[in-house]
Amino acid sequence: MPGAYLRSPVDAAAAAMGGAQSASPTCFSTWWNPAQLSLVDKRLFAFGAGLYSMGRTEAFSSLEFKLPPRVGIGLGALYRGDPFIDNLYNASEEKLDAGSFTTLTVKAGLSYLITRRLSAGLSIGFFYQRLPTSYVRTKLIYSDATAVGGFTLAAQYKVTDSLMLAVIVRDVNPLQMLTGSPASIAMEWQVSPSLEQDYGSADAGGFGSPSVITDMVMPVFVLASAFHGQLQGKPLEWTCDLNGYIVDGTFTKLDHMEAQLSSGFEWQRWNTFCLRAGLGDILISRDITSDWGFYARNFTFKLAAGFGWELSKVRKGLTLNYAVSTDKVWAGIDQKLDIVYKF
Amino acid sequence: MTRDNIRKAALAAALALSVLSSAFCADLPTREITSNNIYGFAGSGDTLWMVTDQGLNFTITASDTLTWLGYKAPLAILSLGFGGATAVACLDTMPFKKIGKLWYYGHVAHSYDSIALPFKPDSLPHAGVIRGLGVTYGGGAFWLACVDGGLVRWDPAGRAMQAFFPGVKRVFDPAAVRFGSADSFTVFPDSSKQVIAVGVRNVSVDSLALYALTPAVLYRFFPGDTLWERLSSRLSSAPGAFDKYLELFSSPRSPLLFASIITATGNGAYDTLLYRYNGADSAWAPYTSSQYVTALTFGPDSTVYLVRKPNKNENPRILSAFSGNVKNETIRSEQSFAHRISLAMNDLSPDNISDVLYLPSSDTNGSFWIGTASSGVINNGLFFSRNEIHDEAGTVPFVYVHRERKIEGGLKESYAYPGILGGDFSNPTRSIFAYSLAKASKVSIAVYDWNMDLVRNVITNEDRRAGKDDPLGNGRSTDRTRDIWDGTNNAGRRVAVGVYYFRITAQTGERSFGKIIVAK
Repeated sequence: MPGAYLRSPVDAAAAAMGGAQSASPTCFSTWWNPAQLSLVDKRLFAFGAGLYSMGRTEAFSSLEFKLPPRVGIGLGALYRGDPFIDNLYNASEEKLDAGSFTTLTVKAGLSYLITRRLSAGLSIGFFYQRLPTSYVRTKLIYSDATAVGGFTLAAQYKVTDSLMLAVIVRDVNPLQMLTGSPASIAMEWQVSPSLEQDYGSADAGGFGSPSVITDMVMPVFVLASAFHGQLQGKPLEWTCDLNGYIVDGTFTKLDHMEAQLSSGFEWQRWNTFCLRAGLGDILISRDITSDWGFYARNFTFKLAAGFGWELSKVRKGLTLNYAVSTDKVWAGIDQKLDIVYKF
Repeated sequence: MTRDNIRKAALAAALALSVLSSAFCADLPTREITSNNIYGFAGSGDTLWMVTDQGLNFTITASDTLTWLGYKAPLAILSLGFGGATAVACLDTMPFKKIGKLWYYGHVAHSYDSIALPFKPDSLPHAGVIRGLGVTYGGGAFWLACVDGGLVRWDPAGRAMQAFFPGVKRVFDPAAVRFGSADSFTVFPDSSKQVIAVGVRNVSVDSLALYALTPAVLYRFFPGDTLWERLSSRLSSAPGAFDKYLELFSSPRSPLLFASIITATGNGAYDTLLYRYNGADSAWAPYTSSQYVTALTFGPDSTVYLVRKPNKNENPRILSAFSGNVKNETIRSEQSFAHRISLAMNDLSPDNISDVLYLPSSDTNGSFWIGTASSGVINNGLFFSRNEIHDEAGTVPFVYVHRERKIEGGLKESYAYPGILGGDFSNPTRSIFAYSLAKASKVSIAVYDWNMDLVRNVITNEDRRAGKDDPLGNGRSTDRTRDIWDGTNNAGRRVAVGVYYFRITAQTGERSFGKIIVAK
């Protein structure tokens, strides 16, 4: 699916809960749920990094603050990529130079508290990707693609003091509809042809006529909940995210609609230390009924765990979060570490 | 070595837009050139040279166990010649220079170097082109068809070059040629002096004769006397009128002389047919009724093997044998060839036969070589048949040679090639997974996206042999017809541009991961 790199949970707290944190993000609400921005206490700054299996990496930073009484604003930037693409070969089985995949996503969000229980928000994004898309003998030729105007639209409703619900649509671009196009984020790549032979120049775009390939990022529809209760007299949060993939990038209904369910909890077992765990990306698709054998063979999910450690002795409002999870294909583990500072 | 086929190797050169490189040197000799896209042959005795998309390969053909040595060419190769223990490749510098270069290799001394054709670029008019479209060996020297540079003689021992222009008695120092001057040519470019192909008629040093083909005239050239003799371009029984020559096929071993000739058939239509020159009546007679002959080689006893396209827009893949000067096939049919080639590669057939070469080892024996290049990475490689010509029953299959890297067994090494699935010049739209199992096992291959969501099940629990049982001897467990990914998901749709991850798992517990980029 286009935009696969956008689907993983961003921060460590969310990752430790299986990626189910849209209804009550710890940080980076601009990404998760911009409607949450108006519920932020004062200001929040977070930064962190992740190392995934197979050499995939990420880093992020976010800033959120409230403009009392009803407005919240957020900014965030996320790098994701794979800087270790080092085992590629050309058609003649010569090893290609090492390469990397780089993405940068920047989002700015705005939220408004409509009532004491209801808030709405939106964020707008800038997307950048860079990838080797061809080669000349063993030298990689890179292409990049950018898109501006990807929106996340969100509404959040506090049903009771212990239950929060959220509805979010990620990665759509309604402005495109003004031009009669689908409300999609279009990533346009200029791809030069690969050459097994070196003709003396390896400038990107210097060989042949590059073809334009347009990928439309697939929108995601999210239903999310967060329930606050107690376990052994200690605060417990239980969260669920249901990510639905209903239409493709051109807003055409998918032949094979599917959804992914994620769920997790956070237990504040000690005053300064909480435990988190969850299951992520549990696939719910038509295959469950139509082709159980296929589904069972390919059924994967993330098993995640982590903790949050308040470093109030270092600085008040500072929290260290860590998450570890399986990667769904058993190639290794995914780890994340971040710092959240409320001030 | 036919110009048309060698041109295949330079196909992408036509795409090149910018000019950078001027200084280069050949890579060190290597045994790691494993390209199976073969575009042309040159050889003599038991030595076979091949043009690949990575450079040159050569092997000694005396035994069935071929030992290879390769040279990575710095640029695409337009033509290749061999003789006097030296191979000469004419490099395609045209994307950025009007003056071509040679790259020559002494296969006994294992020395190599490059040399520029010593014409002065400043003297060339804008439309001028000088490059080695064809090269042949005769009289102790190489002879190059250099288009506007005429016919160039290069002696690898003396390193000297001389230029001869069709119909001109004088011998030129290429460095001193001034095009367009009264001293040389008053009209330029002059298509009657553009040498586009060369062939040797007689290799005797004392009585060397060459053929020099221009678009309008075929010359017989006697360099000893600098004598140019025009051969008639009259067609004896053509359906159309002579328009121009396209290609020349000759051999010092054969009295037969062929040319591809474009004829005008009226109403602005043109045909390209293979003609044979009949010296008795000084005219060209159609040799086959088939159009689109792209390669030809001379066998013993006046046998001629030729390759043609089934249709104008298809790859040349039909190989036929003809005897003497008769029109009909008398030795074996096209079908038997296709069947025997197919036998060699497990019922696949090459979809592009680039060149053929018969290398005689005696008057009656020799080896027959077929070079193929594929738009994918499956149906390509080299075929040979020893003493093929004497197999009247037509039952001896060709030996199929597909060179591949040795990879570590036990799934310790695996990769997909090409690792970037996209718009290659030959437009491969699929990648093959290379892997080697320690033991035969059921194997599954799956592809995942960045988020490790399943994209495609390539194969699921299919039987694969151990690497040591690879019939091609390359130590691979890969089934080259099945273990391929075309960049689509399980629903058959093209996946997005990006990096993807694959997992190969065997029921024996072996498993391996790798990456592949999709840019198509």
